Amino acid sequence: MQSEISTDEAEVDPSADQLLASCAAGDRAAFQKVYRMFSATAYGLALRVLRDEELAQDALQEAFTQVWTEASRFDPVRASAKAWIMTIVHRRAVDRVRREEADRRRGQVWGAGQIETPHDSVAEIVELNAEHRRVRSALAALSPIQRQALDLAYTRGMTQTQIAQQLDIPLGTAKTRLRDALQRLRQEMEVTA
Amino acid sequence: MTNQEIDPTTDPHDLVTGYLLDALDQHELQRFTDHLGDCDYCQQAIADLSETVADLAGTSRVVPPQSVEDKLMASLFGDEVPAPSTSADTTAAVEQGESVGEIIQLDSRRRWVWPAAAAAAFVLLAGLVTTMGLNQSNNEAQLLADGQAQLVLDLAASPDAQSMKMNLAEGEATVVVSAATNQAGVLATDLPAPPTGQKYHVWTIKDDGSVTSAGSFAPDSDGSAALILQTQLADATGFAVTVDDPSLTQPTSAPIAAVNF
Ligand SMILES: [Zn+2]
Repeated sequence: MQSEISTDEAEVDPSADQLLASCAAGDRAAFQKVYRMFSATAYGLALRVLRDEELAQDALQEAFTQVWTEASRFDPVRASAKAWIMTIVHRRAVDRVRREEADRRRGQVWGAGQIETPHDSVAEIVELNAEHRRVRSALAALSPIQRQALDLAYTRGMTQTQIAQQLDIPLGTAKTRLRDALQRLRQEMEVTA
Repeated sequence: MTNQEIDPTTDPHDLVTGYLLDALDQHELQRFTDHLGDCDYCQQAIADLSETVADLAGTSRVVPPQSVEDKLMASLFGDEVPAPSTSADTTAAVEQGESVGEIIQLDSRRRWVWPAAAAAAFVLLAGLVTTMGLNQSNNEAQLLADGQAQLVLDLAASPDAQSMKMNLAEGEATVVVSAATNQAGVLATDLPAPPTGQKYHVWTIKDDGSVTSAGSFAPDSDGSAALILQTQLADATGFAVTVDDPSLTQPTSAPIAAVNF
């Protein structure tokens, strides 16, 4: 194997930025650390979008394959490691949910309602995460229609056009609503930071 | 097709939020990416808002099964597919433990497997510990360090990991135990700050009734804390938490919470 995990350079935990730079240089152990650092958040995200464990695991694997092959594209000046990785994960998950949708009759997927989030002991542990709650309280500051629009876009993987149709509002209104929702969320996160 | 037509009512700047949320169709996405390279406004908007979008991702962490990591590594690197057996898992965990060096001291000489029935029989008990106070050797474990939370989450991802909630008057604490890796950890949130000079102190209760320190921690400003416990699971029967002086080798006050099995 090319790169065993070294026991010598363990003095300091490298940052995620550094680990991604190491990935770009072909460091497999660094990649494994990146995976372990972000896989729970990534899987949680993929599950929310895809609502199917098998599909979410496929998306997770695809996304981290892309993280490995495109690590050299990561620019720490432009985004945090977390934001860069979650962008990839989200896009993979949304691509899949749209493919799945295309395979079924239109309308059926979006109307499917909430499915249960897997609730094993591990999921319970991770919900103790403080960051989780901080985001939730910021989301609570949004208006219900803002939250709804954000949920349809980010969690359901709908396009702006689909959202406008679903909510029976003009496309411009859907766009404005999403923009305002994201701006508001940003303000709230800054307040609680 | 209409894809080639320009919609005069749509300003491409308008698409930036949809781009950030992956809410553009292919036609819009193409238009926007063509536009983005020349538009400082949209580039700045993406820089400003991408962290907020990433925050949305953080609302639900779920540890994926180990098989995903195994498949991923195998597909990328080919060689060395870890077999899904307990011994392989233990080996992997030991490697990982070594990679983070001194933080965890794994007892690699003494691997053993927790009986499944005993692990399954973990139950919550509050305030049960009445056997404290017997002599036991000092076990200094001051393990608070960056990355502890991730280590505990990694531990929770072990296939055999068991978790137990501790009943606390204020805040929440969960103990994670992995018999295969002989490790235990604690994750806590919303804990009140301990009095000056004191910390949350975790104790291992052994099967002979004796008690040893498994480490202590102070919550951060959010009230969150994570700690890999310094403990041997083989002869442990439970854990208890006190609030006291972290240098104590034996508890001097009643536990505020305990788990037993
Ligand atoms: Zn623009």
